Amino acid sequence: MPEQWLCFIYQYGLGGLFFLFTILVAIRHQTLNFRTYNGKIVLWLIIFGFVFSMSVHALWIYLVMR
Amino acid sequence: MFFVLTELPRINVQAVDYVVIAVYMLAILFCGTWFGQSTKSTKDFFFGGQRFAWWLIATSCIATLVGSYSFINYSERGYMNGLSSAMNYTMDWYVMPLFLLIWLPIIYFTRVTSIPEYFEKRFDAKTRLAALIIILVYLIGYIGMNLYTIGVAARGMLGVNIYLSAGIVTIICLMYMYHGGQTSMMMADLFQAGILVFAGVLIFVLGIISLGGFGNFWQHLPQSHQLPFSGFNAPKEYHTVGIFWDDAITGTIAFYCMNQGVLMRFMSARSARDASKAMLVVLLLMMPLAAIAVSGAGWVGKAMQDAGLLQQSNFEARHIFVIVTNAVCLPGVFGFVMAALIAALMSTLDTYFNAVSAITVNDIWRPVIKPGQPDQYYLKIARYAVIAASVLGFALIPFYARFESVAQAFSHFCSTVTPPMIVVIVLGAVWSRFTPAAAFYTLVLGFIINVTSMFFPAMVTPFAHGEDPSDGHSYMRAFFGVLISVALGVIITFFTQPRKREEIPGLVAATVREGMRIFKGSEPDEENAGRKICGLQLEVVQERGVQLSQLDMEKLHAKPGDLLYLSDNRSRLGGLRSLHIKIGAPHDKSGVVRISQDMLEEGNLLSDRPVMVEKIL
Repeated sequence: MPEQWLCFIYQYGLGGLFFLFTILVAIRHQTLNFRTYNGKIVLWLIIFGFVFSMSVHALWIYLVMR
Repeated sequence: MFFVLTELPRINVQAVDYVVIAVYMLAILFCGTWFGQSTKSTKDFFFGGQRFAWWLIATSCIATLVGSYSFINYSERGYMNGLSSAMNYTMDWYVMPLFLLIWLPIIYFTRVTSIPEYFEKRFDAKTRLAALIIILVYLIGYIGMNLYTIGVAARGMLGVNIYLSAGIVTIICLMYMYHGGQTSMMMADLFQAGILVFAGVLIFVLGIISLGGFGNFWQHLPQSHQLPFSGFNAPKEYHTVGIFWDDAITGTIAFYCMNQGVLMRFMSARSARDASKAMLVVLLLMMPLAAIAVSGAGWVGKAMQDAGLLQQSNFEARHIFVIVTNAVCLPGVFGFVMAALIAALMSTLDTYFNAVSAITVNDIWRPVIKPGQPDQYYLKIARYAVIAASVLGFALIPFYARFESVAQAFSHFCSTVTPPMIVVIVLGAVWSRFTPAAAFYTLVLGFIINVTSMFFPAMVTPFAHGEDPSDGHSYMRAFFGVLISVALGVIITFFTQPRKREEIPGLVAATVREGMRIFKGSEPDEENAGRKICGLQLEVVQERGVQLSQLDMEKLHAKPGDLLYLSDNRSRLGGLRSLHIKIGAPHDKSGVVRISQDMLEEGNLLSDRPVMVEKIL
């Protein structure tokens, strides 16, 4: 596997686990009221930011290495 | 990661550059002291009265994040490793749910004034003391490091003595911090964040132009420099797995959750919602811009060298920022870039001055040395503490100057100190069962084991993912420290007694909602939070408090006792004229806010200006 993809999987794999764990803790304890508009927006922006960052990095590696 | 500036190349500095720098210094001094005039209490001094809008917090946060060393350091990394130097600024997402969804509600609603105070409330007094010592050493060491960096940079670029340049910058920073605290800092940082980001991006753009466009820039970069990540575990100076553990996980949690200066930034937000908004803007917009600003000179420097556009061919990579700046800037613009470097230093320094001051007053003076004094007394102590912090930081300059590679030593120090602290913060915030004894011993034993590993790096090697051990595992010690601290924390917890849930309201994820109830004094109403009415008129009355009309209360879905935020209608003021209120019984004059004279003064409101009211909880 090219080293760049190893870096990508390592970071987003381990970082993603921590990301997911803390989101689940927050949802379980309702630290924000995720039923309200503001709570939903914050949660979805965090998830969007993570997925966006991951997509940009993946696309970047693909374009440079193809 | 830090490094030492020793022999920067001398360059031709014009009179106009000195004029630009002098004008900048005067402007920042004026800005800070002018906006700090409204500071009347320790609450104002440390938290700016908890009234700032999200955009002020966001810009201020970036100004703190980009220190004086950032331009030099990340330009060097960009030159040596290419676009992967942006990793440090683009890998914070992993920690965001922890900060935004758990840590921020905890600190905002429990109104802790310092991290050590949180440690006492969540655990006990001796854990607070251990945290206090570690944080104070960390902050003062950081101040000294920044002062030394700007001193050496100024010596190399302008030929000014290290102590003289560091002294001038310290005095200017002190002058506005002494008077205004957090308010001065926020307004000065707004100004400085704009300058430092603009200057960095400007050099990148000028470099691209000198190369003949983005296409040429890209063509002249080697493929290894076009990739987003460095090697997995090599080179030893900058590799992905090291940056992940040392910066993305440990460094980011330390910066947002342990750093007193950053905590105070977010505590000064007018609402938890504004603090969240500020953080999201920082991550989505400002961090990528800051990454370009601090690394751009290195990227274009590599391409310019490949294209034969750099006159100097033999130079150390650490000088690339100065060389590129010199190559692409006209006289006057260079002075502007130098001013940006000073801006980066001052905006970082002022945060740490204020942080040391807050800890001195709230964790040492008020509870231990002289309790029960009037607030004006503590405000005076806060101001003296700012001076003491600057003197201590300044006194560290000769200490740093003795070492050839003190910055790397400082980096070793950070990776040694932060892992036990961040593990205790994370376990303390997410795990109700985590015990005071486990917290204390994780801090103390984790610190001792990590320090020991500095002298015996072989302890780290089995966990180092193949990192070259020749520099003592300065990156992977962070991973080692996290593993050891988590193991200590979990094992000790199962053999010791936790605190009861009712003893820690609001201090852990499971009790955040209780913290909100205590903060408001009744059941919080999040459904209608954020509703606002603009353009209301003020009417000053004798009766103490603030009242709205019945109709306006209905529009806001508010009832007596709810928390509202009252501010000048001009949103561009960012909350400078505003205050939080508990709304009283309604009156019958629609469109009018009745307010007592003392509350009008407390919020610096003008009785003839329209106001905006927003429901907070």
